Amino acid sequence: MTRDTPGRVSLARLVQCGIWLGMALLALMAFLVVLQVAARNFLDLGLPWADELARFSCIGLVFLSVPCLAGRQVLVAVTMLPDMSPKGVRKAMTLIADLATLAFAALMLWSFAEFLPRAGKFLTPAMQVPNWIYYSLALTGSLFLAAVALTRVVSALRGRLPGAAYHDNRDETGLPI
Amino acid sequence: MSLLLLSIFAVLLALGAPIAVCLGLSSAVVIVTQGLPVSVLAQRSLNALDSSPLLAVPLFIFAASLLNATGVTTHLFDLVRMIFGRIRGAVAQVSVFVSLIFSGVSGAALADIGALGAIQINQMKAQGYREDFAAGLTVAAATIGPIFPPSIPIIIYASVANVSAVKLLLAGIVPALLLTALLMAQVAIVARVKGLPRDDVSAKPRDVAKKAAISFPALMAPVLLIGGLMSGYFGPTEVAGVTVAYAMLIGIFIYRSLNGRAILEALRDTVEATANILFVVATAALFAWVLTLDQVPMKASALLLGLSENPLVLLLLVNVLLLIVGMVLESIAAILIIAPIVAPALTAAGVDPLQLGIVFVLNLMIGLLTPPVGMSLYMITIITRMPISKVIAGVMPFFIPLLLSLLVVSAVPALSTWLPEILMN
Repeated sequence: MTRDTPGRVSLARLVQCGIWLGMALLALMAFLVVLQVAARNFLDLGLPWADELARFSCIGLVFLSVPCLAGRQVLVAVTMLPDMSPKGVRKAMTLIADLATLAFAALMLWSFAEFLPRAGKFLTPAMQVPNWIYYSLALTGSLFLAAVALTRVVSALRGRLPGAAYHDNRDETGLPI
Repeated sequence: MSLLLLSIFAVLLALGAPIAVCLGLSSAVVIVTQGLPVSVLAQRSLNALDSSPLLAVPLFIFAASLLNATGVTTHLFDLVRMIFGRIRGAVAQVSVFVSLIFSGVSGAALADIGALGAIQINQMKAQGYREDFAAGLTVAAATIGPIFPPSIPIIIYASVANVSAVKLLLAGIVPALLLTALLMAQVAIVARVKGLPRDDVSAKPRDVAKKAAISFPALMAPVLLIGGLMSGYFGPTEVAGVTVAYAMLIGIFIYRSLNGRAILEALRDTVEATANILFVVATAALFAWVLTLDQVPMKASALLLGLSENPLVLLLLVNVLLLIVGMVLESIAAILIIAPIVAPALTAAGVDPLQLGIVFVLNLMIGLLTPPVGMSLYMITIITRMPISKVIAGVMPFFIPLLLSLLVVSAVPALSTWLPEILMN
């Protein structure tokens, strides 16, 4: 993470925190699912709030982790054509892929801006929290995805390695799928 | 509308954009250009993830990662080696059989390859097997995992097609055993023709008993999980949570190999894998919504039923369709997009929903081995550092047992329906 500007390095660290938060949410999710089984079978007790909280954790896990994976360019993609292409063409294809990611994230943010003011004030059925809280992690993740895609595009246009700030040694030995 | 959607999707896919972005952006462009409400983007993708059955995805991946970290996969491999060691091509047969056992605790083909791939291929290479054969067999055997319960694709299919997840999971047992038997038969033929070696591992009864005792907790996991499902103690999603708890318990207290660092590694691997898969799920829901808006499911149903009303002919047509779809779509995205299109038409024509579910999932798991979107192929190239062309050459002969099992499962409904009927009625 030392080969890039401080701003990009800070963003990379921030989205890395998304993975750590995702790990905490996964642990919580596993605990809640086991808790539901135990409560129903041993105490004859249903825990709808636990199911809802587990689903909230799942949504948060996905949206908070995707920006880091996008930064590292390890989101599942079909790379046969880029792999067979010369280096210059491959770079151009990576730039187009990053532009596509940026466009998608921007459209998602526009969509959130349309969706949340209407739906955000309603309460969730079990936990009775407003929807804007329930979907807040997804919104945060979409914001970071847009920021990551934008920095990758700018880096590529300036002739830098777009993923330098997000480099993870594990990506050279294994794909997180 | 659908033409625009598919064109943008295909171009982005070919250029190497992430599959989730290909699905999401193509849908978003159609939504914006057709003047549809933009809020649908967030609403549909969030709704897709806000689902209890989907919780099984991260939990099964986590359970497989934890079990792998305990070292239980090595014990299982060693035990089965001792049992099959004296037959020709023993290590290859062991690879197939261990895949079946491990599939009893793992719910995804890629998790199986991640957990077993390196051990299987290294053992085969050490005994002089060709590297492409070893890699091909490993990815082919990994297709057993998502057919045998527990299974992430089956749980997702059940939720999309409104089929009982428990019955569908049970429906996968016999086809998974059939697939295992056919793969082992293929290995036996290859072993005889090419003179593959017998194993040199010690198989003294005392050693076997010792290894069996060490492997016992892992061998009990499938029994516990299937028993729990059938007795109603836990549902299909909850079984994933129970598997995590079981893996933690045996890893910490029995194998004593699961420490804090290993758990953190497993958590991290799971988070990254889950985000990758469920991001595709979220955007595939958008894609499916746009197709539905354009009445593609209804048109496809009418087209299918217009071709034939014979259930077997329809199933064979769907097989061809799914084999093609499996080449270009990620399996879970394919379930979310295609299942709502074909399931109503085929069940209306008299195809059993359980049989259709198994045929559907088996098809898409074969799709994991076909380029360009052959995720198992990519996974194995990363593990072995082999060129993808060599892996494809290695896997080609194993399409015979895979397609044969698909044909038999399509032609004989009882293979899928018999066990759930016996156990659940």
